[in-house]
Amino acid sequence: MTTSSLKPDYNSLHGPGESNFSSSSPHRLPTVSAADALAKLKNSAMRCVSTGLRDLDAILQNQNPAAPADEASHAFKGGVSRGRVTEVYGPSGVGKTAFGMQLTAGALHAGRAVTWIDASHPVPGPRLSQIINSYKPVSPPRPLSSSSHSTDLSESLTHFSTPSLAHLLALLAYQTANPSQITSLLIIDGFSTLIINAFPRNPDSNGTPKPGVPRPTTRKLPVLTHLLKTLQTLALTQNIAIVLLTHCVTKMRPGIGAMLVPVLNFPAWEQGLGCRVILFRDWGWEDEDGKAFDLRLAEVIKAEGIESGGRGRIAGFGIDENGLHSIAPPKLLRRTPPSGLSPPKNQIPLSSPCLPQNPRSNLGKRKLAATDLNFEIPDSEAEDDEDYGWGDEDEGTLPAMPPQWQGSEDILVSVPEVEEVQYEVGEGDGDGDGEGGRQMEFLGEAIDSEDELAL
Amino acid sequence: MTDLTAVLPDFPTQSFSRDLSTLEKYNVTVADLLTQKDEELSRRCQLQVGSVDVRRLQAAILHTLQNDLGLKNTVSGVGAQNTKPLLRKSGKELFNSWSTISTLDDDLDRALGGGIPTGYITEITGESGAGKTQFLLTLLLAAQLPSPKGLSSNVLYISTESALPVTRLSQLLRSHQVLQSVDPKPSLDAVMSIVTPDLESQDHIIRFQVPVAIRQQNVRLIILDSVAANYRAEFDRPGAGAGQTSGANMAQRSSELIKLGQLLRDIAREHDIAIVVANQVADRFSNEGRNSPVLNRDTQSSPLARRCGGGGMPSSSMAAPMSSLSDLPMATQTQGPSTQHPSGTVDAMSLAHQQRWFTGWGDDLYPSHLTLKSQKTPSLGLIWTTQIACRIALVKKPVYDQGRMADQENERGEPVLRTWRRWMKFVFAPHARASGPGLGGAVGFEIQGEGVRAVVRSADAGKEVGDDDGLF
Repeated sequence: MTTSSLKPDYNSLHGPGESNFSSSSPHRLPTVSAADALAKLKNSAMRCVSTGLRDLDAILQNQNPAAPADEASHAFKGGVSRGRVTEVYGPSGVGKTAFGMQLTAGALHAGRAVTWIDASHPVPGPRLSQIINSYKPVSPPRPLSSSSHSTDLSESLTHFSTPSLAHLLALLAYQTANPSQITSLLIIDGFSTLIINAFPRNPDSNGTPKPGVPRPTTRKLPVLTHLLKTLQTLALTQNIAIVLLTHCVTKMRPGIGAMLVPVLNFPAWEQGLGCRVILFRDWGWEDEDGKAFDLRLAEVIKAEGIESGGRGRIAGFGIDENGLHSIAPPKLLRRTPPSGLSPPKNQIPLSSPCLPQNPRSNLGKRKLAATDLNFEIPDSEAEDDEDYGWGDEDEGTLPAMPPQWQGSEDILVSVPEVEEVQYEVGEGDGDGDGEGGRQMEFLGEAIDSEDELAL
Repeated sequence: MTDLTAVLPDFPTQSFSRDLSTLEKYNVTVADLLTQKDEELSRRCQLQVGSVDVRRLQAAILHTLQNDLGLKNTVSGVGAQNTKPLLRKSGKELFNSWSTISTLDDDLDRALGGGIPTGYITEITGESGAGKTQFLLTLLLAAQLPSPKGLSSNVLYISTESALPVTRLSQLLRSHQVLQSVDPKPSLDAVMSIVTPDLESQDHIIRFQVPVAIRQQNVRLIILDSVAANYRAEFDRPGAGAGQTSGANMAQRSSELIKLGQLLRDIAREHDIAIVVANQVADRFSNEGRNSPVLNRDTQSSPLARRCGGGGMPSSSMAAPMSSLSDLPMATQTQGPSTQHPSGTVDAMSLAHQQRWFTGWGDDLYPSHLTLKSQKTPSLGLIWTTQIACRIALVKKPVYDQGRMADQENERGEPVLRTWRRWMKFVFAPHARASGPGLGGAVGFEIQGEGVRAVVRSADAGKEVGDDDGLF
């Protein structure tokens, strides 16, 4: 395994470094003020890959999404951070691949190169071409590329299929040793498939293990940690946004039911990610005629290395032939289907006082019925944790549950006012206050019974 | 190494046979080999630390993998590279290599974004009698047509239950205009079929015989009808293995499904063929008030207001684990305590809620009572859903007629089942737009002599557009 002798050119990867040493002599100190450097850093297009959705771009950078088109928002370019590893997870059909394709279109239009890795299903070529052709940048485009047609931009698109984890590891090793100057985005579509296939559950692992022979499953954590480290290093040193599109599995939560959780769900993984987004679907209807439309939501539960703590901020979007398009906040706020059904009592004031609920009292009231403990859910993966020995340690660090459309006082821990603030995508003021409070400590009670469900 | 034959079947093992067998003994996988330093590995396998062989093996494996990925410019000495397509495509190749199999009906094709694509696993799911087999038989013939309608290839039909319905197939061939007007006509000779009544034979056939058939017989469409049958038979028996509980049963079933999914995906990708899988459904039980935010209407207008309204609200927690997740037959189902629960308090990331959109049933904003009662969930759960790329749901709804007179079987003139209406709903796919919520975007169809034919129909099982025969 030889390392390439070609040293990555720092300036071309990270942008002209005014705040870096501008001469070869290490004794020259930078002569730019930190504030200037920071401002330049924030506004640099070298930092992000746009998602094509204005609100989501802002949220991913921990900015307020609603600022109307003004000076600041034009200069600000948000999106998925380069130099970090981002995970986007959600159930089948929610639009993960489409999201990846839109990111690809954004990066290609910005004149950069993209590497797409198929780990599960192949990316549909014609659809990708269509999305690239019809891509409209969030902020006015700079004339970086001479043409924006997909056939020309396709030169900058590199595609791989990795049928196994070993293939991915080999590919990453190669990329690390042979840095590209212009790649800004690396997408691994179906990343979780590789992990699941590489570490199959061994139903007969209950037999006595041979002495001195490590059980296959105990290698999972070291391999994943190594993989994460490789991804982080690759992202950081080559200023690439690495986006992992992953699936969900079900996990039984006593008292709640089966929940969808990401396949990779252990503390070291979550800490290593720079950003985490959940894509999910929910009811959506048009204001006037109550016609249903296809609403999808993206919740950012970790951005720029900062966990949102409770619920993350949401952006709404829809998908059509040309890719993803934003769905404006007012539609998200509307909670009742109009007319004919029940008179909408003018918009419920969003700061209406609600009785704070004490979740512990609720949980205490409900006794676990006998059937709960015996109930087998075929999809349940609860027993997996026992195989890997992670059952206990990862409980406390589950990703926060995304906001429910209509809320549940059982799960909600903090004052319900937080929920209204959640959907006020238009007004970012209240966000800071409300979000910190949501903790998951009530799960501590439920954890023990989880073991009883497991086998 | 334990998984070398799966990852790199063509790797020249002769020069490394001794080391490989040692590594195998210690359960070292290829991924292990690539992520552990050679000293660690040597220590773990009780080889001499610093032995050159491990390092050489690591380098050789890495080189072969990178070669397969098309990363090395120089052609290695391994000749196998020529026969195996590289795991890499250029942008242009990506955009231009796309083929589909038509359903021989324009409206259905349009809804599917052109037809059934190659390179993917497509699932067709629905109740028995919904029309799955008809769809599949049509594809068996359409695939033989030249492009753009087909792939000019032979086809393979793997059945897990009954043999290929040849009579119906020849009827389709005779009756369909498109099939008759093409030269050369599709024929039954091009259809290979095999029955795999249990999991073991299914696995063996798919793993070993299918790749041979593909190569030797130019097969580019494989149909598996149905995928659920063997798994339900094998894993739903209580105490199937020695002392295995049903939970461990389920875990084993999941890992079998994952292996099958990977096998099929690899076949589809490597040979660029279309794999179509039929799946069964089970009834979905759900609490009355949870299916739609609008259903549980009371005096207050919005779910939000109901939540915050203060007293009088049942403080019960979420209902017990949803029985909708099980695909065990109704009779053996034990339901958890069902609590009366104000609607709209379902957590968004619960399986019950999200599955409305990836199963094909439950995403109706204003479901009728009948719809609520007849929701289905495709078998094999989320694990299998993750393995497939596209899902097509065939929904069928009964149309009732008023019983007219007391001398019919029901004396009180209750509604009598008159006929079924069917819709094809495109649930999800990476390459095309889904049908959308409810049945509004789904394509109504009928099963006729010549196969499956789209008809224009409104979303409720009511008046059919253009049908002058008055209903009800």
